[in-house]
Amino acid sequence: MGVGTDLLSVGLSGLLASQRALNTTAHNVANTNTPGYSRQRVELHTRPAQGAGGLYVGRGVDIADITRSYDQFLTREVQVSTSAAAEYGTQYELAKELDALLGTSETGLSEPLQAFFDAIEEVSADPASLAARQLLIDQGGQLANRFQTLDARFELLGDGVESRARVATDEINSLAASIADLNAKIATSQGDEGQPNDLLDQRDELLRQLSEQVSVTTVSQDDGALNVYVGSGQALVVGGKSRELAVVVREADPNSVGILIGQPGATSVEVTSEIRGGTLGALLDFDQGMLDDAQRQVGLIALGLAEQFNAQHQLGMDLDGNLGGLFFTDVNAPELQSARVSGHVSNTGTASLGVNIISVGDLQDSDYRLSYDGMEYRLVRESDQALIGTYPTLPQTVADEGFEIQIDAGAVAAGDQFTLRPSASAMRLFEVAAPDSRSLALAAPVRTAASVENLGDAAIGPAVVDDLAGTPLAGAITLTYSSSANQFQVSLPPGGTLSYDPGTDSGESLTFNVPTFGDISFAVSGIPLDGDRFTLESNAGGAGDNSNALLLSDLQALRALSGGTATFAESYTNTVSDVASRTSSLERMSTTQTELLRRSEDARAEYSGVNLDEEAANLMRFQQAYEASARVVSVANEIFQSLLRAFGG
Amino acid sequence: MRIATSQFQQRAVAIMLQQQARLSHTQQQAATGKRILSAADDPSAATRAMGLEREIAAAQQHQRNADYGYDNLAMEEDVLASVGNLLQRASESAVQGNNDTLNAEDRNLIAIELREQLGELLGLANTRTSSGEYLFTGFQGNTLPFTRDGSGEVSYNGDQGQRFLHIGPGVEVAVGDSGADVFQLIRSGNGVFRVQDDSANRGTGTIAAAAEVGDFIPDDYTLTFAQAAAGDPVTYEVLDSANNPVASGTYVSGSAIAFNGAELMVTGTPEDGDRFTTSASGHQDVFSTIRQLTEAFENAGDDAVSRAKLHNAVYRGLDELHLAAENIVEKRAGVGSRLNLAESQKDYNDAFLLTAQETLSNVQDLDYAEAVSRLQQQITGLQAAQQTYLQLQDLSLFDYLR
Repeated sequence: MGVGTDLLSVGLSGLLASQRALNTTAHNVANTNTPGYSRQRVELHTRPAQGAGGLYVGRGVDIADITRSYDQFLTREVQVSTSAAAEYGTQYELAKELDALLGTSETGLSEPLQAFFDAIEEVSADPASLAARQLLIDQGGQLANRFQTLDARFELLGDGVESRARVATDEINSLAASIADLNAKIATSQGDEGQPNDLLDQRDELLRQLSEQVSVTTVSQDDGALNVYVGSGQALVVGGKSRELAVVVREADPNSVGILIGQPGATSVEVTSEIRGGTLGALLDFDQGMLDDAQRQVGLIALGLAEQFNAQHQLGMDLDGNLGGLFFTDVNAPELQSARVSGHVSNTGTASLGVNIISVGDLQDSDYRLSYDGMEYRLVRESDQALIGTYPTLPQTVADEGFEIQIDAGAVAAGDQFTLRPSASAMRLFEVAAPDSRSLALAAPVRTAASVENLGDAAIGPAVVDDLAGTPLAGAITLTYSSSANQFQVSLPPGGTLSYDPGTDSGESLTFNVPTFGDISFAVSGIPLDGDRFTLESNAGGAGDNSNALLLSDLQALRALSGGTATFAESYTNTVSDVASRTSSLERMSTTQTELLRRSEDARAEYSGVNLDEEAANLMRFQQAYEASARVVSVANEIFQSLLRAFGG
Repeated sequence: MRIATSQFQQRAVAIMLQQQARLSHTQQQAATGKRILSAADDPSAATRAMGLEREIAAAQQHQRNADYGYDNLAMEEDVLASVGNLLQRASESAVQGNNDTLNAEDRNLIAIELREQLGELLGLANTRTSSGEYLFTGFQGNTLPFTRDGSGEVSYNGDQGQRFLHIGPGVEVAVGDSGADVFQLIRSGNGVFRVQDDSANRGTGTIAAAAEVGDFIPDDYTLTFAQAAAGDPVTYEVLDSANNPVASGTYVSGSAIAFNGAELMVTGTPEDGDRFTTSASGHQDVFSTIRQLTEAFENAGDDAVSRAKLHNAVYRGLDELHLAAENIVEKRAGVGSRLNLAESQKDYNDAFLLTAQETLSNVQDLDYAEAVSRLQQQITGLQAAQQTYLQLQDLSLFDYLR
């Protein structure tokens, strides 16, 4: 081989190498802003030298490969951070909505609750005024309205979660399909020399996008394909095939969104509890966590308020001399009882169950799961998974938890499961039941009086009633004192005697039962003389009596909820505070995760990103090399020409 | 260290967005004047603010109740003061009429005066409050408490209920008294026993004073005077309800006859068979007391026996008016102390509202000075970020490739 051809071939190799390098630089510049793009570079190596007479003569340059600046760890880091940032970001966003809903005066419960109790105080100053009574009904209506609005907003948030979950699963399904597609393409191009850099970058970018929706793990295969798993090993993509997620109503909790996985068109396995991270993980967490908790807690307030207020209202007397009826919807209205139980879709039995609440104060902040294995019923509390009890039959009283399980119709079959939620529908069905302002029972049902003919100085205090049968006291009851026996003779009905020793019983409560009415307690103080009389009679006409209004007002300070630790307002404040501190901590976590994501993106960009100044420098470098190689070719040509001239002349 | 160009841009933009978000937060704080825009901004402060808002609303309601109660009680006090004056005037009229020099016409004038006073008293007892309810009707709000029938007898239609109001956390005050307590449940006679002269008495025996000495033993006692023949000394005997003698002796005008804790000073000259009954004191409403006095004046004659009957009635009536006045004084004292309670509770509520509102303001309101300087700082920061971004934009090697 001659000198001229050697030189030409060396020059040409340099020319080609520089051209390829320039090309790659141009590719880098063009993809500066392409997400997930890894900068590429041409790997050159020297052509093996040619031995010639004991010397090795260089033969130019070869293009070994075009590689991408890619670090698997950094790329994986970005995917993981993306998942976490999307998870906390979405959770924070949702929590903020809940926080705004509960915490602001326009939508929260705090103001109407206070206004309602203020209205009771207001009417207690002027109980005969129909206007003040109407105000109390109106404020009760406002409160009910706020409960219903809150309920509707909770539902709306839940619906929002569901529709966003659908969007997320659609996105996941389409990304999974694309990844499977890329897997197939990569597998076919693998095996040639070199890597399909751009396809790999594209797949990494799709994985990043997938991580934004849900946390995934990947396992690479020998053929270059990447298998993708969600949760604890549910395959989403295997080689060139993908599976699909679908959104359903959760069987174990009809209030929550569930996720199924399976072949396209045949999704089947529920993986709700396995889904973690990303937007979808955040949606599911929020749905079963904060939203569910807030809904249950506010529901319990509605129940407690209705229970306590109704109970006290029924111990009063209205403007027409009737005993008080329901002020709010009965906590054990049939519609409410059945709404508290939802049977699982897979149940084979026909039973419809109900939950009857015995005491709202004893209710726990939890749902329950009731299952029947053919032999016995098991009741498990969801909040701590505690086994509350096993029962051979229904109905069953669960006194410690404050409710009883009823069986309204049908029969339970072995394997049936039910979810019990005592607070279900409590907000939605919270309404004022009192028909009009006259029916408000603000007066005590029994009034007491000392006879003006009494010779002694004893006084009788107001009567307190309990366990009322529902009808007002029929006739006046006269208590006549006998000083020799130290007792009151009670007129018929109910008759009998009540012992009263002025020395020891003064100011102490005396109680007796009147059949068809209920229990009456009162205190006598001072020294009655023989024959002194006191009367107890129905307080019909006691329009100016506010005794029961004062007792209703006292409910404001009653620690009726959470096992007697919180008033209604405190309980609500606890809920708001709980949501607020969770929101606030989510905000901090979201900021942290965003920062971590930024750092991992920076780290990846530092390694893989395109720097235009660097590319400009490369451009100049490769241009110079190209020009130099071109010069070499031209020199080779000149040498050849010189040779030709020398010989051909 | 390499910096990817796109990353460089993204980071600059991200920083500007972040600055803008902070600026917007501060701007919202300044616009609303609130430091806490949502509970999550400061959960513990927000919870505290909710608690304070609740306490403030409750205190404001208690304050309204205290005002209402105070007004009611002040009105009751005024009415009770008028009733006290009226009873004083009735006593004066009775004393004035108890003079033997008056003739029938004079006594009739006294009777008319007493009758007018009774009407006035009835008007006071039927006073309405500003909200249209009767002040002294117990729980019977809209029932006219005292009505007079054709025979002049006044009856009470209310009950013995007493209305309470919450004027502070756990503080209740009675904002009225029932008509029964004020006008009806008043002791008769001298408060322990009541002496009644027999309508058939023919002498001029008069019970000038009746007092309790030691402990009166409740029973119905009859004091009977006897004189065997004209000129004989007058003797007396007191029998209890079982006809057992408890005292006896020779009658001396102006000296006391004592038995079982009662001491009666009898003056005048009782005739044989004249009787006075002494029984444990019951209750008598003030209207009956005045009505009985009025009737005594109307029925009185000019003879000595009639005069003695009038004296007996007037002495008894004065005792009873005195007890009625004492009852009013006692009720006024009660109202006065409740007014004090209401007033001090109002002061307390005011002070509480002031502190609570101040605390609430500290908890949730914005410190404007701090916010304005923060706003300024944030604006400067954003401007700096924007300017450096623009300047760095011009730095590219490609600019020199020409």
